[in-house]
Amino acid sequence: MAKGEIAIKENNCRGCGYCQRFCKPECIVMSEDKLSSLGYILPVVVNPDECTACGICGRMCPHYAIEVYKYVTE
Amino acid sequence: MVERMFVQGNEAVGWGALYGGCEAFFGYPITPQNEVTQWFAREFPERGRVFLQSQSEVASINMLYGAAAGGFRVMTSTSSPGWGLMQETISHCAAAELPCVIVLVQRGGSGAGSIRHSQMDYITATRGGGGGGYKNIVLAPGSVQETHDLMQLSFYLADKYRNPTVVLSDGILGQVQESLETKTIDFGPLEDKDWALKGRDKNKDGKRRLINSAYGVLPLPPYPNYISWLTHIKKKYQEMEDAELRYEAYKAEGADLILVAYGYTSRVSKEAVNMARAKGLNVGLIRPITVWPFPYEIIKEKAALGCKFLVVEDSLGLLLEDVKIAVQGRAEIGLVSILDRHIPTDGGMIMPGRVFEEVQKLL
Amino acid sequence: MAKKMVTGNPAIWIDPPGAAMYCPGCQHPVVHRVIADVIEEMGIDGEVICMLGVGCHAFVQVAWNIDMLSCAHGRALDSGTALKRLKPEAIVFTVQGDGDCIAIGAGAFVAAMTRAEKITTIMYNNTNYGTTGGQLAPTTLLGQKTTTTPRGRDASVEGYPAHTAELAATFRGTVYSARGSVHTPANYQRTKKYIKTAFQKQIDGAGYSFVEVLVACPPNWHLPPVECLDRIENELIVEFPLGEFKNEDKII
Repeated sequence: MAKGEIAIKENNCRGCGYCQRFCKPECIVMSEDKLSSLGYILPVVVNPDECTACGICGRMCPHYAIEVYKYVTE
Repeated sequence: MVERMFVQGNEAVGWGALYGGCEAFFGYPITPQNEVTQWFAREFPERGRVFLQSQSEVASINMLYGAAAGGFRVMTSTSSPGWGLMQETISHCAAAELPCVIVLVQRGGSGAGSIRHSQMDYITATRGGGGGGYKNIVLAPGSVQETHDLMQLSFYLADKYRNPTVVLSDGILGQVQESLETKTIDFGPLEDKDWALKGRDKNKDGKRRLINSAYGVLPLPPYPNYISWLTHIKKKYQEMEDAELRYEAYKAEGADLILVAYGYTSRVSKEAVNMARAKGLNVGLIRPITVWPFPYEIIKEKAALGCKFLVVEDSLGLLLEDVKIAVQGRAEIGLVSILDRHIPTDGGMIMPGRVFEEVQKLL
Repeated sequence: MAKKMVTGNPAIWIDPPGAAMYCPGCQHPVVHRVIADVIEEMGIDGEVICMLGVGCHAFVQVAWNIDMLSCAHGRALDSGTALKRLKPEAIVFTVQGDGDCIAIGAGAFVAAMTRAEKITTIMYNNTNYGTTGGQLAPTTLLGQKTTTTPRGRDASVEGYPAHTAELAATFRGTVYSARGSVHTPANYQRTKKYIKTAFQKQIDGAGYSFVEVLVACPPNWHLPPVECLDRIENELIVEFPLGEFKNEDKII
C-alpha cells in the first residue's frame, strides 16, 4: 500500500532520467514518447502502490519538477 | 574641535577620511602612497575602524565592492600601476551603484614607470579604465588642506550618487608637507542605505536584496531590461555633471591668456600668473577641482571672448584633450608638459619660471 | 487520503525564474537545494549574506530568497572578507565554481585562507567552464575533451587536475575542508552534512571552512545525464576522492 504519491510539474521537467535512476522501488520510468509542452521526454509513475514517499526523486531532481506527498492519518 | 598640524598630503588623506566618516580602509603597498596605508594601519584600529592590507590592488577594490554592498563608507589608496589593476571592479562598482572612494597618487608612467610624481593617469581617471559605460566622479586637490577637504567631499558624493569617486593626487602633493586644519565638514543629510545587504530579516521591509553589476540582464527587479537600466544611469550621470562641477578661477576676469592646470602644476601656474601680473601681463588660471565633471563651459566662454590658453600638466598632454574639447579650435592652446621639467629625470618638476617663459611667448 | 508535502521547492526558493535556468541533468540545482535546506534548517536564512562568483552557480541569484552579492569573477572571497570584517555577526559564505575559485580566483582563495577568514566557501566542481561553453578548467581530468582541449587534456601542455579541497586543508587558517558529491542519494546526505558542518565552523568563529562538491555537466561532458553520474562514480572520484580532509574546532 502506497505511503504517498508524487506530482510531476511537467513544465519543469527536462527529461534527465535521474528520478528513474534513484527510485528504489522503481515507481518511476521515463516514458517512451510522452513529451512535455517543451518537448522533453516525461517520466511516468508505473506502480504507485510501491511509493514510500521517501522524497529522493524530488531531492535529486535538478529541475524541482517532482513534489512528493506523504499520506497522513488524522 | 579643530586640530592644526603639519603633515604630508598622504597623511591628510587619512585625516580627511577619518572626519569624512570612513569606516574601513583596504590597501596594498605601492610607492608613492605608502604613507596613506601606514596612516590607516596606525590610526584606524585604535578607533574601532577596520584596516586590512590586501594581497593585491585587485583584492583591495573587490574588498571595497563587498564592504560597500554592506552599506559601509570604505576606501582604498593606490598609485598608477595598482590603479590599472582596479579598473575591472571600479566598473563593477559603478554598474552595481556601490559608493566607494579610491585615492590615486599618480606616479610616472607608463608601465612600472617611476615611483615619483606625474599627472599621467588623467584619462583613465576621467574616462574610466574598466569595461566601458560608466563615469567616476574625480576630485583633484591642489594642496594638503584641500586633500583633507576633498576626502570628506568624496565620501559624501560617493554616497549621494552611489558611485565610485576618485581623489586624484600625485607624488608631489602626496609627499609635500603643509599645515592642515582638521574639521568635520557637513554636506547635509543623505538617504539611509536601505538598498544595502544586512541579511534578509534585518532589512526594513524584510525582503532580500540582490546587488549585482548586470542589472536588466537577468529577469530581476528593479530594471525590466538592460536599456531601462542604462537610461537610469545616463540620467544619473547627467545629474552628477549638472550639480557637482567645481573649479577655481584665479585672476581670470578679463584675462588675455588663461592657464589651465590641476594638482601640483596648478600651484606652479598660480606662481606664474603672479609673475606675469607683476609684469603687467593680463594672465589668469582656471583650476579644475573636479576633473570630472570638467569645466568645459567657462573655458568655452573665455575662448569666445578671444582668450588664449596654456595647459600646464606633468604628462605628454592629456588634460590638453579636454581643453581642446572646450575650445573647439576657436583659440590657440599652448602646452607646458612633462618634457619641460627643470631636469630631464623622473625627479624633475615643471617650474613657475618655465611656465612664465611660455606665457611670454603666447602674449 | 490526507497528504502532506515532504519534498518540493526548498523553503527559500523563488519560483518561477528559479526552476527554469539550468541545462537538463545539470546538478547545480541539486547542490543549490542542499545549501538552501542547510541554511533553512539552521535557521540562518534571515542573516546569511551570499557572495556569488561568476559561472553556472551564479544563476542561483534569481532563486535564493537571501541577501546576495554577485561579485567580480574570482573575487567573491575578497568581497566576502571585507564584509565579514565589517559585519562579524553576519554569516558570509561564497558560492563559486572551480574556475572562479581555483583558476582566476586562486589569489583570493589563498589570501583568505592565509588570513584565516571566518568565511565558508562552497565550490561547485564540474571539471570545466560550463557557462562559456565547456572550456578547460583547473579541474579538467587528464584526457578530458573540452572546447579548448579538443584532443583531450594533455599533462605536458595543460598540467594536472587541481585538488582544491586538499589544498585548502594545508592552510592553518582552514579549520574544515571536505569534498562531496550528489551523484547518489547517500552522497547527497554526506554532502549536506559537510556543508552544515562548514557553516557551523563559521558560526563558532573557528576559522575558514571549505566544501567542494562534484556536479554533473551533461552538455559539456557530451554524455546523457545518467551517464554523467557514472562518470562521477568511475572517473571523477578516482581523481577527486570524497571525504573530509580537515575537521578542527579551532586553528591548530
